[in-house]
Amino acid sequence: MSASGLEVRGLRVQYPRDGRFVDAVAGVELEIARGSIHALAGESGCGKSSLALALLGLVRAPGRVSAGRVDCEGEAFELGRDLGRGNAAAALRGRAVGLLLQESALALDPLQSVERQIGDGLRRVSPGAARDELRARTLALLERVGFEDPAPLLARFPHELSGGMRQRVQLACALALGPRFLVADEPTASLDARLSRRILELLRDLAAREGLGVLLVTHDLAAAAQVAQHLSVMYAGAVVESGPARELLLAPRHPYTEALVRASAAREPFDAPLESLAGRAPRPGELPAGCAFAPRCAFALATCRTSAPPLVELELELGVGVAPARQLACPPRAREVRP
Amino acid sequence: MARLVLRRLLLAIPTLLGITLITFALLRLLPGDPASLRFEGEGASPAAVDAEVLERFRAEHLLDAPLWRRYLHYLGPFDLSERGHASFGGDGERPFGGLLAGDLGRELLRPSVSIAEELGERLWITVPLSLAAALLIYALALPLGVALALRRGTTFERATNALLFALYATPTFWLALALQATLGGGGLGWAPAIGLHGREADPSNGFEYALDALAHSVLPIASIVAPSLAYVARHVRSSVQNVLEADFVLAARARGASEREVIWRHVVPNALAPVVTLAGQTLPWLVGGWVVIETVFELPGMGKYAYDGLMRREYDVVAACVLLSALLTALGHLASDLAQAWIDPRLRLG
Repeated sequence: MSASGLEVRGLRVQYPRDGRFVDAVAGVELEIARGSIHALAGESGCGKSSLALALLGLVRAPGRVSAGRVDCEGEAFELGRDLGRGNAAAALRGRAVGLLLQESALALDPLQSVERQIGDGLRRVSPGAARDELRARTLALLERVGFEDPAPLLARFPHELSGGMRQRVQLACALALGPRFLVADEPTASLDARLSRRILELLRDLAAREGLGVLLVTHDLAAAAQVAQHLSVMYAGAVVESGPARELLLAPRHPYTEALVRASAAREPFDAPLESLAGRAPRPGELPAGCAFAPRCAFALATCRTSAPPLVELELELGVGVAPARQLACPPRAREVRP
Repeated sequence: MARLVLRRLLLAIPTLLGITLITFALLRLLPGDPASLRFEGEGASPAAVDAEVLERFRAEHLLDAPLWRRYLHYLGPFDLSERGHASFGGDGERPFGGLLAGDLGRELLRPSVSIAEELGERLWITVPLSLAAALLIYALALPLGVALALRRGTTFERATNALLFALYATPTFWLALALQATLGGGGLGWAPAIGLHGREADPSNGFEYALDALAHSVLPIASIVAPSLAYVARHVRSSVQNVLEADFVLAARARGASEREVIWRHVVPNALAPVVTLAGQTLPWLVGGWVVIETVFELPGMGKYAYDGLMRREYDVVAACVLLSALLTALGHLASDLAQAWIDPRLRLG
């Protein structure tokens, strides 16, 4: 792909279950372009958060990133055990790809002031910088994330800030290392509508103005529709459909995407009743043979239950090769047979 | 911070008053009449003692006064007996007395001995031993607990855990006796096991005298440190494990922090808060342990004093020891609260 993007190849995350390791993310491929937002949507437990952390070679205990490769503008990182704690990890984490977590009381270190938490990152990328310079750069970072008068903030501690403020400080901490890409894992999940809109707009501005490439992990399709150029939908550890965000939401091809859209406030017409999808997503390690969605799918064919459909490039009606490409993991016959 | 200190100090006052009420009640509830106890030691039944002497003793100790007056007399700082402060109907010969005047009473069997003075001397043994033990406990338990949390699931963790659990489950007196029997004079003879000084120790030779005391402290300190060490290390481990799961640790790693930075800059300070609370309780908790250990090793400290007092039914001595332990507990809590506020900004500004 182009040299101005982040490519994820063959990403596999596993968690132990009943004495063996099972896939939570099963060989996902993903591309994030600079200057745009790529939303990753799916139900809770579909592996989207595991995927997000795994991009930095991180995983919550007791999981592991068992395979995967990240190509960041020509700089390649082998994820998994090889990334280890060496120089590659230091180059990837924070500097190439930053991380923004869901707002919580413990997303920032409760014992450290705002200045110190942002300063930690700044010192890491420019060791030996003078105090005054660090402070000036900290203030500039806080302005970048939307604080108009950041000076009084420096000595504050996380518990003295509101949720929305904490989330912007967390973003400033991530930006301190000057990453080209940012992974935002449910960054608005615990904020109210107004504040979450603000954070999303901030991310959109950072992408548009500064060329940041953002992976926005969310379960909120409406949020994705607002700011993302690209959308991937995940189900049971794999991407089932991917493409331009608006197109995907207006004309979903995968039955699961369709169900998600119908169950979300992003659908049209807005006064149609919300529909919910019967059944439950399979847990890692309990995937059925064939397509993981088949047991819940109204259009499933006999072949869907025996062999999993691969994620393939879709030939769009608009013409082949219109970027960004649209991909789908659902055989054409299954989609044609509609009731 | 200054306001916090002041508030905590003011809050300590009712606590301390409550403690004095309890020790006072304790003294009155224990079986036996102080007057009979006092004169029993001289081999005579109260009936045989000169009525005038008995009467003077009863009056001096307000044994026939109402309870509130006896409590105020016990609390001080004014002596409310006939010989007490002039404002309270006394003749002013001995105006001050009671706890607030630093007067803990006198021993019954040795009336010339002031309990306060005796305790003061004995604290010179118990307090340094306690401080040394507390230092040792935390100096060992902190790195051990952190190591256990970081090496979760390894053979090292399982083996150390088993050992710590065994230590924690070992009764102090048993461990003290076992150490005394195996390593002390009767066993391998690696360390002296009785008393604070050897028979040949010469008080005029300061340095060697201190070294001798140190050698005599090895086994007692080991017996008190081992079970507490196990307890504190397990506490540190679980605290560190909790913090390791916090999002800010993940976020610090995501910002390229090295494992060392993550542990020492984020995990340990955050894990310390609950451990500091525990540290405040260590001193009084050790004092309780000394009752057993000083008795086993025959160290003339406060613990032994309390034990002997109980054996000889010197209730004033027991009450004084209880009071002092309670005081240490209150001080320990105060100190740990302040230390916590110093570490954690969330507690500093409330």
